[in-house]
Amino acid sequence: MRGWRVTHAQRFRDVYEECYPRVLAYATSLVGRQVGEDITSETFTVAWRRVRDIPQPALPWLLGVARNLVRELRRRDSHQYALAAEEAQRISSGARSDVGDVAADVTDREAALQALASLSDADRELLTLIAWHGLSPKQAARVLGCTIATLTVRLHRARRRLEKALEAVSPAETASVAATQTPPSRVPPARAPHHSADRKGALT
Amino acid sequence: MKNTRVRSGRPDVLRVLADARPDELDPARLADSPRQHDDLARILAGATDSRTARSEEPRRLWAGIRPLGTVVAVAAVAASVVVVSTLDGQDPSGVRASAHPQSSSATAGSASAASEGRADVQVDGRLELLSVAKKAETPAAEGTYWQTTTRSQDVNVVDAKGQLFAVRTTSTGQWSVGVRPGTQSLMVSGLDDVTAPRTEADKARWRAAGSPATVQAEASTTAGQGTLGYRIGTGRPMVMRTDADDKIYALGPRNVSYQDLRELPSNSGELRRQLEKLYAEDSSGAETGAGRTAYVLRQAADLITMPVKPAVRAAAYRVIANLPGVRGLGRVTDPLGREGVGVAFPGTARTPLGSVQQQLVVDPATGAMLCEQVVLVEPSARAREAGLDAGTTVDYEATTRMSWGEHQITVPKNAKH
Repeated sequence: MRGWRVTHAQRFRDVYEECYPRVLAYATSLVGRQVGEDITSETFTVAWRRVRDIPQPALPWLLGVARNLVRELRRRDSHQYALAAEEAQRISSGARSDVGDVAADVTDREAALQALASLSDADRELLTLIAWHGLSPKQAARVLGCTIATLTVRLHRARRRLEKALEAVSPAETASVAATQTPPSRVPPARAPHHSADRKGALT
Repeated sequence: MKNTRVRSGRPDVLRVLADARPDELDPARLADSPRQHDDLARILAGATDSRTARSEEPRRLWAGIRPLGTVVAVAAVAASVVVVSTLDGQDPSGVRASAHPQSSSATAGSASAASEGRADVQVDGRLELLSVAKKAETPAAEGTYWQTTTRSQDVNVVDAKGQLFAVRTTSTGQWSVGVRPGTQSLMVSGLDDVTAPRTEADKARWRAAGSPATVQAEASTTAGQGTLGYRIGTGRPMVMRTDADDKIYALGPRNVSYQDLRELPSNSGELRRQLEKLYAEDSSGAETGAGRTAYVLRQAADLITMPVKPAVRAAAYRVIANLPGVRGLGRVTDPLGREGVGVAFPGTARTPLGSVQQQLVVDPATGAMLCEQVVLVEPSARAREAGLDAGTTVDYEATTRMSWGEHQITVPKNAKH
């Protein structure tokens, strides 16, 4: 196995090889493929400069960097960000042009995507980090910059809301979904949606 | 049901979601692109561009504090002083006198719990003496479970076959937080959960639409429009375990233990500074666009319902009263018909129902939180068409009980985990 003799460059190549597609998948889910490639490129540029800081496993750290870069983009160029986010939204809602799946499969998938789309941004982010981008809850906590304990509670609630949303989605109506978020601030974001529990704070 | 703790694997619903991942996000399909190879070469060659140079310090970005939308800095006004003068120096008890007679579970008062648990003490004076005595032995013992019962309602406007009407979901929730080592915290939500047309007129429209079992509401965000489904009829309760190790609540982005709660400052200036620190730490707070004032208010309101020392609860009220933009509403009646003092959060929020305002209703006699509610300020055309006028309380969560108990709550047999 590799040990201390591995050079920084070799370590970086390994990380790059292993993580590039995953970082790109994550970035694409946030800002679409095109901008996602730029974000991914920037992410690894930062990683190369900070190659000594890259932890093992590297992926959560890299996704954290990518996430920050996307935020920075949003701040710097809200117009470009809005367009990119719209593209990402299109991808994440499953509005694809190619139809190659079995019909039933498509329906299930669309129901799941519709349910997902009805959740808050925070819930979606957490759930997809785990279900789509392959992070463990502990790693997701690292990306989101919260404690594992906080994440456990958040995840529990997010799952519950997804279950509820799945129940609410009638599989018959597939329509092209663009649902996004539970009505924002119907209930305060903090205590949020989340009824009694969240109100005490455990939330987000 | 003993252990409803989330496992860290990928249970059911996450599996369903994983299977639904769009192909465009499949890493296997994204590997080995020309761009990937070009970038590697470029990066190793040391090329940078100005954009990446600017993002040199990811750490700095974590904070991500962008005070979106300036919070209207109305000076703390007279009406909020009502709250101050009522509560300052008094004991804002966490227990309302009208609490259900939970005598069996209300045994473990201490001197501070005796003041905290006034209602319980009235139930049985002997228990008061016992608990005071007990306190002398174990000063820290406030009780084993901090228990709250809430009644909530959510209203939304839905569409079915061209009919526009309002539905309301009501339910009861119980939360029992174990504060002693080895105890669990359980939350049961969705008790008596019923979703139904809001009024008779709404019911008529629902029938005219063919009495559909599910109806759709509009949901909108910056990213676009979508729908939110409601199932008409009754729902099943759900149980969740909410403790993680010794952490029993979340305060902002942090999870806190009972010990942490007991150590909160009872000086309102210090408390406010602590809450402001949480805002700075909490990236999600910034993300939701909630300004610092709203954030601190949120946390302070949460604190009031937690098992903090009476003095801390009082400090939390003072923090709220002194926040800019917070308005007192005078005497109001909560949705359960209980009279209290109203406090309005600064500003309004835009929702598909129109602009709404968040309010708290507090019992001035005890300082207990009676209700948190969301009131329509300027209904949207859709909301008006469904009979929701300005001033309608669309959502609320009323606290009907908040006290110490010695026994864990029972979970209904049909509860989902």
